[in-house]
Amino acid sequence: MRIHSSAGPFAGDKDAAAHIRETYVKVSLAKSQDVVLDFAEVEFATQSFVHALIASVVRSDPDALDHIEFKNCNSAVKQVVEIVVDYAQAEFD
Amino acid sequence: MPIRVPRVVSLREVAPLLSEIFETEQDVLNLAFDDSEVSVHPSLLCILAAIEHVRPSSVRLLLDSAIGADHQLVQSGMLNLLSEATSTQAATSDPTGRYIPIQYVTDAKTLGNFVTDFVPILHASPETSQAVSYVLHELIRNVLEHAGNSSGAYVCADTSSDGVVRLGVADFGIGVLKTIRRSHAAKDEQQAISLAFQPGISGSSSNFGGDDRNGGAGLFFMKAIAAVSKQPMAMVTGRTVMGFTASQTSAAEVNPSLDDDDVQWTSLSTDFVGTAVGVDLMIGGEQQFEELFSEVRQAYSLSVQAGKKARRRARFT
Repeated sequence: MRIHSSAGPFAGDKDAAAHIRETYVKVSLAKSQDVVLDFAEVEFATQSFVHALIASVVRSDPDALDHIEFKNCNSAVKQVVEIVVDYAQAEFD
Repeated sequence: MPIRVPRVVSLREVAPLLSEIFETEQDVLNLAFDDSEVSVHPSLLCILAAIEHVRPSSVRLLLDSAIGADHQLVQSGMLNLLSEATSTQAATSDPTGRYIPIQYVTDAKTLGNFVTDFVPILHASPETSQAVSYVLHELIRNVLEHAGNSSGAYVCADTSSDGVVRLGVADFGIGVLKTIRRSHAAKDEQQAISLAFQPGISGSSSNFGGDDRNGGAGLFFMKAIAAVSKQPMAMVTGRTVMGFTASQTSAAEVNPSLDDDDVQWTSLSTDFVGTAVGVDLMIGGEQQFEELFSEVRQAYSLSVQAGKKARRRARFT
């Protein structure tokens, strides 16, 4: 899944992220298929975008990360993905 | 009696000026500006635009004489936006690249177009431009989601002479108190603002950590970016102004709660209908945008209560 195709170079549209989550990420994982999120040509992704993209999936099953590949992420995008992955697995009182 | 707007109004000076402005009980705000060069924080311009949007012809800009094309009120588009002004001057393109004229953004598409079209105008460093784009996306998205039935937000930006990019966003929606109270108990606007800035708190869900669409982290990230870049941030909603001052020590201090920050609270005598945010950004030459996020990530990890370390890591290829 090329993120740029849905979200452009500045991935900030949460509706686009939610659409990818519901129609690709969840569907693929339900079929036991690996997910590839290709961030080529994406200059940055907001925390909100990445949250809408994967947070609920990771929160409900952190093992899903074994089947999700974040591809072609620049350093800034990597940082945001790692932030969301971290807090999605954190426990809140 | 018009209110004289100082020639220079930084973000920290917006709160006392708003106090003066909101103390007037007149139907029309008469604001006198200097004819020569002024430097007013864009957040104030956005607030005035939002007031004008709700009550047309209620904001009047007073100038003693004709102003030049490079005057901030011209270049920011305020003269064209407000119907009441004592001076008119057709705006021309700004060769210095200091201003993003005030824009009314209504949805994700216009937001995206705005960021793509206008951020390069600022002629900021690549790192600062990235940070500006990020902050604009998050701030305006926040507005579009939480403002309620009203749609859209005014956004404006400029670059000061020392390279600091100043951003302002203002809506005329339901305000932070009503937004937070949809899902959390908040006794007043100050507490609502504090909750809104706390990581994991979202007005869209009573669950800590938010829901599948909102993590309750957007405003905390904004504060963290301001803290890491050692710049101020402010929020105006209802009768409350929150002014955040970043620590200037070498190590960035990003606290989970505004209660632990250097924050000044100002009460207004009348309501600002909606929410406005102002933030200054400057990413220094050696500090890359991604390094900034590395520091934000560290701050976020320390801020969120975690019972155990993350068991899984993201896989990058």
